[in-house]
Amino acid sequence: MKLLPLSGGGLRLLLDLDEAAMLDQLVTQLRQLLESHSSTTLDPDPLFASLEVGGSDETPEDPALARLFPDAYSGQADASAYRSVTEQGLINRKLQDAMDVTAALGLGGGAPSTSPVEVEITPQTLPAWVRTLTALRLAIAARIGLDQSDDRERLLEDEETRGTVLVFDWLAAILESVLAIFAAGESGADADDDAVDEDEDS
Amino acid sequence: MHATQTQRSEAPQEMQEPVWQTVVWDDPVNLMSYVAFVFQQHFGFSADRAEVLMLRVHHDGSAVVAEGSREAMELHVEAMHGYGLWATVRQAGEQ
Repeated sequence: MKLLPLSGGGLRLLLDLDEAAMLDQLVTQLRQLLESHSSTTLDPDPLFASLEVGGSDETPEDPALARLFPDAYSGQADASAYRSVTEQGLINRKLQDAMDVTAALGLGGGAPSTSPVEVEITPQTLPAWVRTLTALRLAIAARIGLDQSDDRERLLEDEETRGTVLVFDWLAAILESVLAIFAAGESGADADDDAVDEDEDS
Repeated sequence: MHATQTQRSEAPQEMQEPVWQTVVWDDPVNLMSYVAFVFQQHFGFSADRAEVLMLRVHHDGSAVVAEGSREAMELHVEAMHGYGLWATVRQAGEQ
């Protein structure tokens, strides 16, 4: 994994083919997890995909889904009411983010190349990338029971979970490096001019 | 910029709308740099302000990052969940 800052505020992410394939597979698994919890088919029309209908009103039993879609209130009644009007929209947006990342990796179909996979991340595509990397880390942590900060060390020593913890750390390294490059770009020049206008979500 | 100190005025408040808060909670997964990034990106906080709030989340276990109407706080929390942060809505004064 290598990252190269680009003039103009973005960066180029270079992944070895096996790294790109692993990331692609993880994002696909995330999509399957999200789709398993979705009560509507994601409409290819973004207007309809953003409609927040069909959400559940119960905290998901699956710990990964419960962490991706946490209760917004400590009280059960408020939490349920809130979930029923927000959850499907959140699912749809996380799915859209994941699909953007998959599309940018460009591994679907076609003969696999042997050269490194190059992806440009711009200020516009940055939110989908960092949200997806974060969703993957949250889902992985929930799957292996990384619930407290001192769980990581124990899980790293356990043969069964060691590999998963290494993937979890690898995703953190990508995320950290991407954020560092964008932060350096912003504090470099004209930070005041272009600091706040990229993301219009929610 | 949103007020982030919990206002606990002793003056009679019956005539005022209740104040609601967006609370972000510490979790063992999210990177400190990412939490600060989200605060800048979503709330438009300066890098310094975002850093202060992120450290408050990290050291105190949670931080109030916005106050206002319930509807506005619900939108903030929805955005925080979109970014994968653990956030809740509460009325000012609740624990």
